[in-house]
Amino acid sequence: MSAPEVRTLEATPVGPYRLPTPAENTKLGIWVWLASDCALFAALIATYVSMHGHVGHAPTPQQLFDLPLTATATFVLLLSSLTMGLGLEAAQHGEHQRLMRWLVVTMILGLAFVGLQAVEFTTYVHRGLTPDASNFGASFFTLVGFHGLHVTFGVAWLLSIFIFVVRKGPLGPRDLWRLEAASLYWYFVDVVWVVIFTVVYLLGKVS
Amino acid sequence: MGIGGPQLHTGPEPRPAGRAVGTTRVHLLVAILLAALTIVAFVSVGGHLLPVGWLIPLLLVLAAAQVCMQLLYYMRLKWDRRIFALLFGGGVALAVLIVLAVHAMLSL
Repeated sequence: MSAPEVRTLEATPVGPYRLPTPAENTKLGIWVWLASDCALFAALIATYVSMHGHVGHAPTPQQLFDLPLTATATFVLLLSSLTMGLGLEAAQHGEHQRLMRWLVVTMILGLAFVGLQAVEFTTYVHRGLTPDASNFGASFFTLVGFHGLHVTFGVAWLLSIFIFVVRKGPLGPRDLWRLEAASLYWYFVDVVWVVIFTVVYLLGKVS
Repeated sequence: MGIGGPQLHTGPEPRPAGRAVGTTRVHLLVAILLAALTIVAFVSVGGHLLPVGWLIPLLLVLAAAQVCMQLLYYMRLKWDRRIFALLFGGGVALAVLIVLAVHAMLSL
């Protein structure tokens, strides 16, 4: 008696068509998630835009924002996108050591960004802006803090991949989607920061 | 029309997961352009180089250019399946509607 046929989730030809691979399904899921996250950030940004003039007795955005510090954080995050891309490229070429180095650099840059954000928040609190000081304070800390949580989660995700590689060995072609999914998330966080930097900080200084 | 199976994928053959599409040169070039646009935005605001009426549209255009570059080259939408771009475009469209709705609601 012959063994029953076992169908895997690999790309299976069906006539001229084919079933999606798990990697493609994961990627589709990531894009759906990012699209929904986009809507979430939109709600927070819209709330901030509507509330940034409601300062009460707290400092205004013009008095408060420290553009050089925020610009430094922006460059750190932009640089982390570059290092993430270089790490992904190294993985695609099977250069294990180079991937590990770029992953570490990306995580350090992510942590540096979160650290700069912590410095910024502490400074603002000392200057009198707390989440309960005004509608501006509440919407500002919610929006920027939510983004900071995203960066922190991204660092944790990259760390999980780093540990995966340390324990299981170099990423093979079947595992590359893990890194590709994490890189999409990381870039998305950077994209959102570009919007926040412009709408909150630059336009906040101007308007 | 195919015979003998459901129509699951009719688009072009997708880029296999993990295949290299962006080179170091492309990554570096995009990173330099992103940094340059950020510097232009920062200097424009910090140096009070333009009247506010010009500055606000300039900043929005610079941000839009940066977002597009990141989506196309870093997030690889330029090379990937169109469905991903459509999905994300849908998310952005929804985001714009949410911004308008929330802003209108809170401005009442």
